[in-house]
Amino acid sequence: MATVRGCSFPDELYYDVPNNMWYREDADGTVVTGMTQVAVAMAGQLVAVTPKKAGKEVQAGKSCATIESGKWVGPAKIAFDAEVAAVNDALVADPKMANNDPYNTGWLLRVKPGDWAGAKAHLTPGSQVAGPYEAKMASDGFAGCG
Amino acid sequence: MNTPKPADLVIILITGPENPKRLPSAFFLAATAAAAEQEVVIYFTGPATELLAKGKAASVIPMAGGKSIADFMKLATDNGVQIIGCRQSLELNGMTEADLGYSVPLMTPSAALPSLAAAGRLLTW
Repeated sequence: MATVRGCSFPDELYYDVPNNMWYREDADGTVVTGMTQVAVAMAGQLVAVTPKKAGKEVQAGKSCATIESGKWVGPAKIAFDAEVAAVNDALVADPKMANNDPYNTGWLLRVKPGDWAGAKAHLTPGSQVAGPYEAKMASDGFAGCG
Repeated sequence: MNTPKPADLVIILITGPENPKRLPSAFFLAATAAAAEQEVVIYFTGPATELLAKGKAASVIPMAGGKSIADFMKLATDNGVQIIGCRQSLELNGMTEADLGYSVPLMTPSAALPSLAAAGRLLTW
């Protein structure tokens, strides 16, 4: 697992570094996604997560969920075209799960990608994410996950 | 000629620096709607227009040690909220266009009214 300024990035995941999202491919061809530890650290304690509903088509670069904390609100942007297959209802009921466990119980959506091979080519594998994230944190003036 | 699509949500913001604690919610609500991919416009009029002056919004801090109104305005615009200023209200606040700290369109009420009235929802604040 890579650790950058106190933030963890599991090796088995793929990352959209600019948008602070992670992706995990599953054997059934679906992909699970969520917010990185950086995203939830920057947002603060989440108070509401409103994902797109199952069956909804989501487009690359567009919102797949609205994320709200006490001090910030914004979209979680998905990196590729997909159909929402499932929503983490537990997270919707208790948004703090993303702060406490962003890479496991804090997952956001399960999606069916339009073209996962093509999408993966534009994501950063966990084994290579440390450098890009250090650069992003420096550029954003983000001190770290504490 | 294509007619612009009406906004989903318009907030006519009247409250200005005289009542700082009323302001953050307007921008947070607008930002939340925009984050959910709604088209959102905030029309600054009356006392609110003063917030568009250079440095003014940054000097208004509703809660000691907290964010400034400029920060809340940035949250809204970062999410795609459009800001429009009321041209008539500049004079009301002793301002000219040269005093503006934000590059925003200025519209008279008669020019703004058709699009404001066509909005999906309209809030006055």
